[in-house]
Amino acid sequence: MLAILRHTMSRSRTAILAWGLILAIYAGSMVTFYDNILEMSDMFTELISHYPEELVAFVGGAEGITEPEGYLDTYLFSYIAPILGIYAILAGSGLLVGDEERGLLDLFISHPISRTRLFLGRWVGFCLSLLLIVGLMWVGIVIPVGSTQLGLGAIDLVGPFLSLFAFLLLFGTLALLLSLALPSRNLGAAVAGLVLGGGFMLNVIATIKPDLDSINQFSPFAYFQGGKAAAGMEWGWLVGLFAVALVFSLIAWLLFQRRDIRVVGEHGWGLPNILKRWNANRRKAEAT
Amino acid sequence: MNAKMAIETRNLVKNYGAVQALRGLDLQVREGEIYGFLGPNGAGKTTTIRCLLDSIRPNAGEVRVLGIDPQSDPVAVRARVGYLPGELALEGNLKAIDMLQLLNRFRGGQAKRAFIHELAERLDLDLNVKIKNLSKGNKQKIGVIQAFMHQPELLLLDEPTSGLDPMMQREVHQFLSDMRDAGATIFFSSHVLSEVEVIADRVGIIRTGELVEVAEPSTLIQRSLLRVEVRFQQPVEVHRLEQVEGVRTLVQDDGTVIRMEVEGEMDALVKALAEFPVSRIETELPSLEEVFLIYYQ
Repeated sequence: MLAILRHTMSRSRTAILAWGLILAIYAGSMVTFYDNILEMSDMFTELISHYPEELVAFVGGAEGITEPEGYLDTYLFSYIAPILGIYAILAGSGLLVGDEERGLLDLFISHPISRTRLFLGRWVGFCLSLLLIVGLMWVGIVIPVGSTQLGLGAIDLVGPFLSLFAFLLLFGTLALLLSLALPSRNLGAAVAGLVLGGGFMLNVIATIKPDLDSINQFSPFAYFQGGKAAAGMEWGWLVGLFAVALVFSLIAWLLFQRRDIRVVGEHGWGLPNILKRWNANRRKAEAT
Repeated sequence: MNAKMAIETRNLVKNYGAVQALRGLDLQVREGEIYGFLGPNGAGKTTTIRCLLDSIRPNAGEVRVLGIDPQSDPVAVRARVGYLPGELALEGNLKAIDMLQLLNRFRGGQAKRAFIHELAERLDLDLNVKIKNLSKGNKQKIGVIQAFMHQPELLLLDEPTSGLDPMMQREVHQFLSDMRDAGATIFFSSHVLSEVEVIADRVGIIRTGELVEVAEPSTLIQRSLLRVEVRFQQPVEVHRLEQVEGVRTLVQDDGTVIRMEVEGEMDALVKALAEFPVSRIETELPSLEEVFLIYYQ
């Protein structure tokens, strides 16, 4: 399993560094702006009061925007979660099926590695990559936070990033599961992307239309605390996100145990081929 | 199931939706032999090999590889097998040596570094070049090395010489012979019938998921039609030869040269020719390719 893990990590190296460092610099710079926002808090409150409520909802709400946790939520986590969610979906959907579609899995699986070990090696590698990206962001904030009036320490900031990690893990494992269950990686990623985009929009609209709360409670966004976790962690929500991610992972593992490993050019690649096959069968039936 | 068989399948069935790839395949490959698996595209060659490795699961039937059921203990099977896929994919960003080391790590370091370099030298492959910069033939060499590098007991090779030049093909044939001499069993599929004819101890012909023939290449060839050309001193009446059992006349040039196909023994034809003034008889065995085509006509 270590060989698979090492391989997974070495392949993710560039993505980890690129996403992690860029977001760390972005997060660090947002923290340094806090003092300016605080100085202009009256003006900001006045300004935001004139914004349409839809726009305010879209940026994560203006509630406590001058408070440290509200500021982090509005200016960092409300954007970062869907953006990093895209990375999690792409990485999750490509974790096994990406190799399968490139024909590499056929070669790897011919070596003395059980499917469980292969799955675990990839899965642990994926979790570590997410953890490293989120960790780099955390470092990016922790370094400048002491020189600001944010008043949060390194430990206080663990909560929001833990919440972010759980949220990303959920979408990554959903994409992994869908890529194994659906005919192609692209389709799996697209469906997971729809859940991410739809969940984000639903969460935004639900803040101004409380009628949607009953639907929104099924969205992972409803349980993503983001910056607000700095003021107090909702442990139930966090455990819930991790539990769902674990369930997705277990189902994905079961699917991977049972399914055939496909090779390039074989039947079953994507909807276009399925339709092509269906048409061929139909024509054959008509001819006979 | 027979313990002396390196590979044994019984009534193996594999369906891809409505497509029946294997229809009750019964296959027996003896320990220590080179077995050529012939069939056109879509006949079920790759599907068979992938069932042996548990990459895909059959719908019915039994499989034993080196006496082990691949579905019960795939890791034990794969530890003793070397596999070269028909559609070889490699990590383009890695150097050849890094790819081989990666695959060796997946094997728990079964292969010796010196042997990897020895194989690369024999195949004239520079291991320090990035795979994305290699030609198809050189990539195939990496595939060959990774299949051989841990000196497995059984080699499953799907089109092993695909993309290799004739010199390298000969080198791979030599590898196969060396491995067989060292006690390994080799099961390989190929479209290049001339190579199968040269290196295989036995040949199996698969057609639409069923094994239709198993024999030694020479037996297969001898069992089929023999081409005979007879030159006479003067024109003869062809119809008298056509009456001989198992003889079919193909071409006649003004009655002095007659080309025929003879099925089975030559005895009746030789006796019939004794009545004519024969100046020369030439016989020619068909190639394995021609024999193979008989099964698909």
